[in-house]
This record gives sequence, structure tokens and C-alpha cells, in this order.
Amino acid sequence: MINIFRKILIKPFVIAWFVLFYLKELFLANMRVAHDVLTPRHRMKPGIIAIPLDIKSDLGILALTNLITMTPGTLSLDVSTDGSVLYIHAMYIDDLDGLRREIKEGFEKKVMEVFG
Amino acid sequence: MILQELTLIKGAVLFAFFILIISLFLAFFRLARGPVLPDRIVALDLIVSLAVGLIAGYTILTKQSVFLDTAVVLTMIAFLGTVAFARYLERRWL
Amino acid sequence: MIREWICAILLVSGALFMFVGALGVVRLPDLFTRMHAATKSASFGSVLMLCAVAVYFGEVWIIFETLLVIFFIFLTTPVGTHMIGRVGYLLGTPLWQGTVINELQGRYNMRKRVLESGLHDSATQTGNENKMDNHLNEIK
Repeated sequence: MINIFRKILIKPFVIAWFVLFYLKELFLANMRVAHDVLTPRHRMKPGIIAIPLDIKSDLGILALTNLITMTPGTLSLDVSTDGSVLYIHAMYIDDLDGLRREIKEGFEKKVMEVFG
Repeated sequence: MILQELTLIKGAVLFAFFILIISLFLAFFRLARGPVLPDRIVALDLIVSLAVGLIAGYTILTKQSVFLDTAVVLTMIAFLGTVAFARYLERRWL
Repeated sequence: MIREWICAILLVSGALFMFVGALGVVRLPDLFTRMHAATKSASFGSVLMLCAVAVYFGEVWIIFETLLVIFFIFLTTPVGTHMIGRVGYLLGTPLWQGTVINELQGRYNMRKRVLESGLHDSATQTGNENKMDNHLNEIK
């Protein structure tokens, strides 16, 4: 009972926080892409990387792919047929494990908080 | 007639139009030149985004909020067009 | 007065973002990097300009309609990008020569029409990663 009550009370705040986080990431993404487009030399290191997924629900995967497409230099390309690996195209691969960890622990955790 | 009294908003809209038209030319360049077909689809998508921006500016310039409905329809058609092109390519060559 | 200023700033910055997107579509070297510019900058630019419309009119109905368009853009742009990117990869669009790593290579099984996850044969995957690390070091 208390648990349900808490869920109903806290969920809107979690969602609002998620939306704010999304907007912040979107803004940063645009700044970075704009910087790379406007400066004459291409300083990027693009590549396609695979990210194992812990989310199982389709809605969660949709939210995660949307978030990834709209954030700094990453673009979701495809999800494997069994839904366990997400392939993304990233524009700045300076530190591969760091990028992977960032997506796993930053985005995926937040999406899982909202969509379960 | 539009230019009779130049307010801040009108100046901003006209400046935005100027930038958007240059961007349209750039997008057309990619549409005409694009080495592969997906490039052209990307350019078309971009052109529709630019058109939505133009509609937003025009809505403000004429103070007719009806034009906003066009933006709704245009975004939907752009999405359908992109998906249809992608499906077509997938069916046609794979 | 302050509302007009906010509206004008939103309009001009939205147009500038779209310009950056268009310039990126022309300047960047391959399909995937071009999609980065086209999706992010252009959709963000149109969202900013629609926000300008909402601020300018300030009526409930128009704000609602604008939010609807923005929500729709955010929902559909990634889906469209996903489909174009997938088809572009399947058609064999060349990646830029500066591309550092391609973990999608060999994962599409066209005979069975599935995309393999590559999780079951962990040996090959670690092999790939090592190779890729070496490649990264060479580039540095």
C-alpha cells in the first residue's frame, strides 16, 4: 500500500527529472556537433560500436534509442534481432570503454528508472 | 507591405528566413549531388525540417495561427516519406 | 517587450542551428556523420522555432499544438534516422576512411535475415576488441 502510494507520488518527479536531463543532453549535443561542423578540420573519430542491453521492454528500448540519437555524437543504428545488443554510431571515440560505460550507467539506468 | 514598420519580431523573422533559404540551397546541393540514395533521403528530411522552420516564421509574420496546422501535417508526411523510402530501398535491393 | 526579445532570440538561434545542420550535411564526409548533423541540429532548430511561435502567441491552444508538433518530432526523427542508417549500412555505403572501429561488421546474417548479437561467441568479441585497441593506439 505504502509502496504504491510512494510510486504514484515519486514517479512524476522521476519523469520530470528525466525530461530535464534529456533537454540538457540535447543542448550539449548540438553544441558539440556545431563546433565540429564549423571548425575547418575534422577532429572526429567516428565508428560503430555494440552495446549490450539490460532493458527488456520494447518501450524502454525505444526511449533509450531516442535518447541516444538525440545526444552528443551518438546515433542508434540497429538493435539485434533478439533485442540484446544495440549498435550505435558514435562520432567521438576517444575512449571506447568510457563511452560504453557512460551509455550503460548514464542513459540506460535513467531509462530503466522511468520505464522499468 | 510587410516591411512598412520594421519591428523587432519582423526583423528577426526576416533574418531567420534569410538563413533558412541559404540552408535550403545547401540541402538542395546535397540532394542533387549525394553519392548514394540514403544521402538524398537525409537531404529530403532536412528540407522538410527547414520547411517547418519557414512555416513557424511565416506564422509569426502574418499572425495567423492557422498555418501551424500545416506544420503538424508536414512533420507527419516527412516521417511517412522517410519510412517509405527506407522500406522501398530495403525491398528493392535486399 | 521581454516576450518579443525571447521570441526573436529563439527564432534566430533556431535558424542558426538549422544552418549548422545544413552545412554539416554538405561538409561532413560520410552518410552516418551527415545523419548526425541532419537529425540533431535540424530537429533542434525546428523545435526552437516552434517554441518561438508558442511564446509569441501565448494562447493555451497554440501552446498545446506546438507541444504536439515538438513531441511528434522527437518521437519520429530517431525512428527515421534508425531506418535510413540501417538501410544505408545494408546497402554497403562506404564509411569514412577515418572511421576507428566497426563492430557491426559481419553481424548481419542475410541468409537468415537476422542481426546477430555476437554475445554467444565471446572469444571472437574480445578478439575484436583487442584488435580495435591496437588500432586506436596506432592512430594515437
